[in-house]
Amino acid sequence: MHPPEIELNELDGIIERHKNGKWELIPLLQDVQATYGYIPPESITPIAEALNLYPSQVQGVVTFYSGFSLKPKGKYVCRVCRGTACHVKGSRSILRLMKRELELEEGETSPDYRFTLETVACLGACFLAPTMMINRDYFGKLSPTKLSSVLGEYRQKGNNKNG
Amino acid sequence: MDKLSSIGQLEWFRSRILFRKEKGIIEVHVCMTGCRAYGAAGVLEALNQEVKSQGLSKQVEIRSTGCHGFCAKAPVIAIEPMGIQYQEVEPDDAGDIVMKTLKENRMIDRLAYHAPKTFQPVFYRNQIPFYAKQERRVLANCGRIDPTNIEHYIAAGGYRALIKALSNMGPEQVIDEVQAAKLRGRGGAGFPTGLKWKFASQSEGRPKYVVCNADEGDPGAFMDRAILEGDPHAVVEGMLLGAYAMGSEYGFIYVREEYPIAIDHLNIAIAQAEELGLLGENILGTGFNFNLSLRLGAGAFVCGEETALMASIEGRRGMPRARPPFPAQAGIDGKPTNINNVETWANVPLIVNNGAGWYGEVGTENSKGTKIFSLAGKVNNTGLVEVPIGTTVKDVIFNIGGGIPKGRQFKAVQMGGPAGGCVPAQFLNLSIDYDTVQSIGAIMGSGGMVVLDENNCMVEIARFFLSFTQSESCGKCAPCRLGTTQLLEILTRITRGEGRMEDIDTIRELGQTLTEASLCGLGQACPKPALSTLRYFINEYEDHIKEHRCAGAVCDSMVISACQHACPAGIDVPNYVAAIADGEYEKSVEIIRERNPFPAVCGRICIHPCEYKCRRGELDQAVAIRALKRMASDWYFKNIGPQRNPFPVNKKEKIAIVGAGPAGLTCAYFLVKMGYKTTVYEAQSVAGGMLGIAVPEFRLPRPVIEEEIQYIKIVVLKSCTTHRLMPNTHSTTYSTRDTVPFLLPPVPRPASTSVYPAKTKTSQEFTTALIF
Amino acid sequence: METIALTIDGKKISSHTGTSIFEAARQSGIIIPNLCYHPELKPFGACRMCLVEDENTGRLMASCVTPVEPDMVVQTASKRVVKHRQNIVRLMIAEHPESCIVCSKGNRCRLRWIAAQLGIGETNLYHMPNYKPYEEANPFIIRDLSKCILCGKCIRADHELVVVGAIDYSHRGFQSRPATVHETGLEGSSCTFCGTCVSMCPTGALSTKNTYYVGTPEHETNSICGFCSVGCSLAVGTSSEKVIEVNPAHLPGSVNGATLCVRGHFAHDFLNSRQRLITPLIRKNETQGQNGLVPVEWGEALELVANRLIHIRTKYGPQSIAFLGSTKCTNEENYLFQKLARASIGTNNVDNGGYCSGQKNTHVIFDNMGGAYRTSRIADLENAEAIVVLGADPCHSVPVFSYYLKRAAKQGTPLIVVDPRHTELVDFASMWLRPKLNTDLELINALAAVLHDEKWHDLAYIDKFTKGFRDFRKSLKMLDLGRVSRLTGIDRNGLTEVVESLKDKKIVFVVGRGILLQKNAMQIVGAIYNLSLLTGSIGVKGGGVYFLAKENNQIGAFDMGTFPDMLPGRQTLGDENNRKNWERKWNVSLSRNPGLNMVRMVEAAERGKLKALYVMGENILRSLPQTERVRQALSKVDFLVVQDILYNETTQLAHVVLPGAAFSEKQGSFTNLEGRIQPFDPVTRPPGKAKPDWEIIDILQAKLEQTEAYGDLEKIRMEIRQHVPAYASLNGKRQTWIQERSEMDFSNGADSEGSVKFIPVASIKPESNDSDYPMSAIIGSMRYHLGSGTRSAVSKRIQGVDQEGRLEISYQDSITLKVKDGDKVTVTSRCGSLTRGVRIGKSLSAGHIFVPLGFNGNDAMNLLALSDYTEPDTPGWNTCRVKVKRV
Repeated sequence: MHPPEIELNELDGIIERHKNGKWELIPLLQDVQATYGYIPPESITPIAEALNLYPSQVQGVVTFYSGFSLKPKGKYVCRVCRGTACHVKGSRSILRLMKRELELEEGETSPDYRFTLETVACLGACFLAPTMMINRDYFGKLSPTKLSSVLGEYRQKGNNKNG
Repeated sequence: MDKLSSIGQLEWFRSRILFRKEKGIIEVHVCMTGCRAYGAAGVLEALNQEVKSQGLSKQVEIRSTGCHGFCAKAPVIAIEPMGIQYQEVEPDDAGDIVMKTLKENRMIDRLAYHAPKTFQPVFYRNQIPFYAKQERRVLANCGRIDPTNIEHYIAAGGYRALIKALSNMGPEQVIDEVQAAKLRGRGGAGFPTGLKWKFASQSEGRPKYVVCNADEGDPGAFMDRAILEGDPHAVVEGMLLGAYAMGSEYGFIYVREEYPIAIDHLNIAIAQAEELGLLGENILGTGFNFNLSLRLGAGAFVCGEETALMASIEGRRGMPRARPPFPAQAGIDGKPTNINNVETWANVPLIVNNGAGWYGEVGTENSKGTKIFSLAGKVNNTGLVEVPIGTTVKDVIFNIGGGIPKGRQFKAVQMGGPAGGCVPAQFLNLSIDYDTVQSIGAIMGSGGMVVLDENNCMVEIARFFLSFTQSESCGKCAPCRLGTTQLLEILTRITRGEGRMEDIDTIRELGQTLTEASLCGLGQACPKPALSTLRYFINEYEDHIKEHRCAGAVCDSMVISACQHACPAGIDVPNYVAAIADGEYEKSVEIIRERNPFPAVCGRICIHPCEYKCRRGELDQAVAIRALKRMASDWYFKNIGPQRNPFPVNKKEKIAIVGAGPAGLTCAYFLVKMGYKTTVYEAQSVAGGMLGIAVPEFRLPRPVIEEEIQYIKIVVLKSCTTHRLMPNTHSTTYSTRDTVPFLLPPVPRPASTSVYPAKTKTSQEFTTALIF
Repeated sequence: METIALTIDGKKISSHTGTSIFEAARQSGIIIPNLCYHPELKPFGACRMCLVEDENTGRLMASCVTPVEPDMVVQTASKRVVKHRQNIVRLMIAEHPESCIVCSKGNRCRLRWIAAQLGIGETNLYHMPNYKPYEEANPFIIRDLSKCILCGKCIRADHELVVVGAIDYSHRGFQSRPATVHETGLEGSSCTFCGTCVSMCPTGALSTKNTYYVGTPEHETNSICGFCSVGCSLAVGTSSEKVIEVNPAHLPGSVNGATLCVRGHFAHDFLNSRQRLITPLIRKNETQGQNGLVPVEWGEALELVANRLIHIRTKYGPQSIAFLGSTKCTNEENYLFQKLARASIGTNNVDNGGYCSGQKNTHVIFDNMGGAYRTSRIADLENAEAIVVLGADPCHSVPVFSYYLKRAAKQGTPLIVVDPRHTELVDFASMWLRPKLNTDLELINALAAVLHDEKWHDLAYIDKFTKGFRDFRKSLKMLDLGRVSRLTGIDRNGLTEVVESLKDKKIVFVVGRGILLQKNAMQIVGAIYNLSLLTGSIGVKGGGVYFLAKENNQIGAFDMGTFPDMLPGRQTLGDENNRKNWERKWNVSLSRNPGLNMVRMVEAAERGKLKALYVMGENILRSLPQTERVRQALSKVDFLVVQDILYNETTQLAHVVLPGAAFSEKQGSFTNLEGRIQPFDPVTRPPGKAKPDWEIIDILQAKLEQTEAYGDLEKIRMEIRQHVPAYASLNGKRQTWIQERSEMDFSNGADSEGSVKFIPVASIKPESNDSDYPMSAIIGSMRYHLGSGTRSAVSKRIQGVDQEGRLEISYQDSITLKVKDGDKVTVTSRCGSLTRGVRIGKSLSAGHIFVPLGFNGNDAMNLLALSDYTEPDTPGWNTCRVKVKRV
């Protein structure tokens, strides 16, 4: 399956918004990431041209920060926290379970572009360890049962939306 | 809202808010930040609806606030002014809360905190030990005010420090005050804030920048997040004061993008402050200009390092550079820049408002004030804790944190994240301040405290941190880029049971090079977790290398399963549990008997270390392994009984066993199984030894023992006879035809027995069952 | 700057604020081990090898990034420091592939060297190789990033020195590596293959690609690059008398520092070409081409040349003989060559290949300034206040010069590019003006007019140093700006915008072939000169005019008098005194007739008037337009001598071929475009029987005049020193500069009031539209070939790039012409046609086509007319009208 088609037209608008500011590369990339869910590689050169940077420089920034991805991601990005508190509270097992449930390895996206499995260094929700984030929502004190029910919900959501 | 154009107008604005505030109104504070992840939004909505439907809208204000600190019991709500705290509230509880507590002033037992030992409900927050032992200064507003409402902040005395500074203090005076307060950077390095400000203020060059480092990346730390979410204006005000003191016109808050609520609240706070004229041009008509904007991190831990952070603000790769020049001389865009951490900034209004004298009332000689810690890991009361600097580790973990869950042993507390180290149990009385913690190889750091219990493997913890720093190393300087990779390789090998003893020296050697030769703080600190665990837990390293044993039963490669690894008999727990799950009880008992001929006995009296280590137990409850064993063996004896064919004897060597206790019988069982002819000698009239004598009947009923012994007797029947052995006469009865003796008496010390093998005069072949 | 006293390794040292400990130590002879340090790059502090210890504080610091502080007591090799260095090297080796034995870096590997210094063999660490794909798809550079130690020199050189930005770091931590955008091979990136990174790479991560295994050079000798007029210093690596590698020599004060360009770095393999001439050849029968040429000994060949020349002179007079010197040969050779023509034969029919670059037109300023300020130093571009680049594509023609421009622009110097093409430099420009073709004269005049209108001219300067301003301003006022806008396509606002950005600034003008080869080049240079005076930009710091000469010794050939009406030292032949002077010096009588220039020589041959032609180091069949016409003309010459280093189109017609030596095989000196005279010594022996050109001419001259030969280059140099004031400092040891006449000193102007004159404003007739040839071809160079490409085309490496030299057309035209990338088109002009593939680019506006020079036998020249009798001295070889058809 192919990732959802993207409209590169929006890119011009984003570039326009940031073109004249100072030090706008990262905010611009964040906008692009938020709009498309990733940084389309073909956007690197226009961004570089607009900000008077080298394309290689833009790529350097994109690949430096783990918040940017050059590959399309799924509709739901699951980020399992691998922080210390979560680690000592068994987030390894949560990750293992997630891998099994989603049939994905870390950093992979499901072929239907519904789920992406990632890990994150720390979500700062250690009191709820083990935790994960799906898009912008937090889930804490995860247990195998809770995990399946949360994933179930998202699977359901995805199904409804896709008819 | 019109801009406030003078200091007087702000005072007037405050008094108007306070005046409008109706007397006698009840406020319900619902944490809508941390607790949101646990359904606080539902609770808030339910409460709102309930209040509305009960017609209490006029008398009750349901307020979404920041973190209350007691995150372990999320969602937490507080009812003011009574000071009631309810915890683990669910939307369904809204009705009761409104009906009973709000209307009738009746307490709800099930929502209250319960004292650990007495199980008595505690309704009032100030009586809960978690709060009682804290000194909440910086967090005072957190959980009380609505962080998205600037009026709340102003009503709570916010921006008073700004007024004070702008009207009565010159910039130098502000710096002097901060210096006098001995405020030290709360980000971890502990550099005196006042001094840092002084450098920046003395630096030539315009514009000057002030930056709030809100890139809280340490795994296990969430203090900054709580402040940003719960009291963002405190940070804004702190930065305003700093900007005023240092003569800066532009400010940045560099915040992690993983903190969406913090970002929202900061955006709101900045917009509101701008709207009121507290940010922007000519603030309060004093001619002071300060523009503040937000920059979002993009997922790089190293950007917490100040030179990397500045590179990131400038839109470059977050690679640190050498200092000097320090940011105070040449920072963002080559201009003077001052960077402080969130908590540091939040302390500033307190100092300016209350003076250095008040501020210094708590703390130690060199470090004044309070410090917020985020308590997480294997501790009962996870959450945010603010205590005076100098409080002991024990106070924080046991008195405030409520100790270790599930009755496990405290092993260490990891402080300071990937740059920090472990504080082991012997330092429980250590006072937490910058210098003391450093002296034992850890750091106070930004305040992350992750509690570790006996089920954590220290080698694995070190490996965990190294894998973190390895993946977060920017790659610029060689020692960090290559050193972390090498150290990770070494630690990974050790946790896989492929380590070498010389690896320990290599860790120390490279660790020192990384510490001294790396370019930035990340590289300099990254070997700390390894060095610190080596310092206090070298035995664990040696166990891994020499014995391939992991005390925490964590390391995958040497631990097939945690339960089996933890079992002293090494029973294949996962398989027999699986067999039980499949209903194959007989097979399950056979699996147990591979390693232990007493399934029924162990099913009752085993101390079940397997369950302590059960991984499932980390997430919710451990699998009830012992009970399953008991159930399977009971089924076995009930449906199959002790009957079965004896083992064939096919070896010519003969073995004598002295003592028919559990050890002797086990010994006999396995020797006969291997085909040896075995004789058991016993002084008592019955076999079973300690099982029958020492364990009370109510724990281990006699018939169970007998059944098991019966089974053993049957399977070893033809080859094994039990002889009565009288004390001190064994040498006579002890048959010289037996070639190999095993002596298993319950004795205090092996040497005190006079039983010796016939041929050898050493005690090498003398094995004791139990030592009392 | 404050002086700071400190102690390094027990040695008391004084240094200055801001100096790094590393530098301070180096200045006092203490070399601290390093891997990421490079004197021309900003300090980086990444390898941590230069760690030192401050005894006072116990602090360890990377010395390259730590400034000296008063009273520091620094230990550069304390036990602690050495231990850390050892550990870092251990780590690096643990990551390094174990392939030293086949690594082309061999014993020049800095990592290996440092490991040996520190006594590291076995690391006792776990091997953690970081394998990356091996890349060698391009013909120049092999990238084996498994061996990268991330010193970042390549990236920093790319960004800071050559300012291309083809690579930057990608990813982070252990995975981080230099990468092109989209991580393609270098050939798919904006890399210009200057090779600067290759020379800097401390390990085998970047190395020069060779067609066969060459191993490590046995010797390295400094020389000067033989390609363009920048005159880069080279460190030429040789093995068994063969040049196998070239790197920048980065001598102190060299023009190129640590940089080079693709030609300088990689095209020197032409020296080893099988096309090299290794023995004198004589045409023994009338068979055309190479087959008729028979190898002979030097004696026989030179005897023949001397006899034939004497014979022809006797029979047809000296004016029937012409000499074509070379912009690639040395000063000494060109001096000797024109002396041969003028003194031994008695003709002024002597020219050089610089004619093809419009070198003559640059003389306008020299003339008007009375010889002063004819050159400006490239290094001064750093101090420029504003730079205007006119009709030049320095990124391709003189790459190393373009680095200076780009660096200045990156620093914030306003850079205005005036060019009908969107050249690479436009990406760095603060403003780009795109006048219609060949309207630069109107444009520059208009800029002067607007500047004057706004009263932003430098009145003080004008008052002090110039005359004729009143007349000049009158003619400026006459200028019809509306007409200018119509002609140039740039409206008044555009002009004002440019002028505003130049306000109160001294201007540097950089002038390239787009101007110098225009029909009106003389007038345009005059207009530039006027504008410089108006803004007070000549003779001051931060201003000046830079003419981008093409070939390595174009300036020197000119200065040495290899020119029809110019004696050595640029003394006009027409001036009686000058001539008398030289007659005395040479003890001969000189012809008064101004000689024939290059094109006129061909025309004379065509008409049968030229009986003998001696060509030294020019392949005119490739470098002149209308090849066939030139071939026909040369066939009519009775006696054609070609002295060259390669078999080429022209040697095929020769009666005698004399094998010369390339720059790396002889002694001599070149003068670069800024007037830097750079002597050099041989790196290898010439191949076979080939001889340095000066020796050949020397012997020949001796034969002709029956005198003794100079026999020694130093004697020739002495003669030049004595007789050519500008070259009074010429010597064989170190570089020196052209001695300018200094009576006009604009910097203080004490006695030079009113000494230079404005030139009256000239105007042009607009080009008439030619409906048969609706499009315009712009002819220009690309970086892989210099000029006509005689040498670069035989470089094996250059042969690895697209040999076709695709034409560029605009997207709009591609639609009209219905062509796609790679399709073939035929371009036809009134003079000729060519067929090549096209590429659709963004640099052109509709109606234009770009034809790169040097490719495909340099057939681009076939589109142009060899001569235009109406305008004698300005060929107009920058553009021509064409029609384009898809094949």
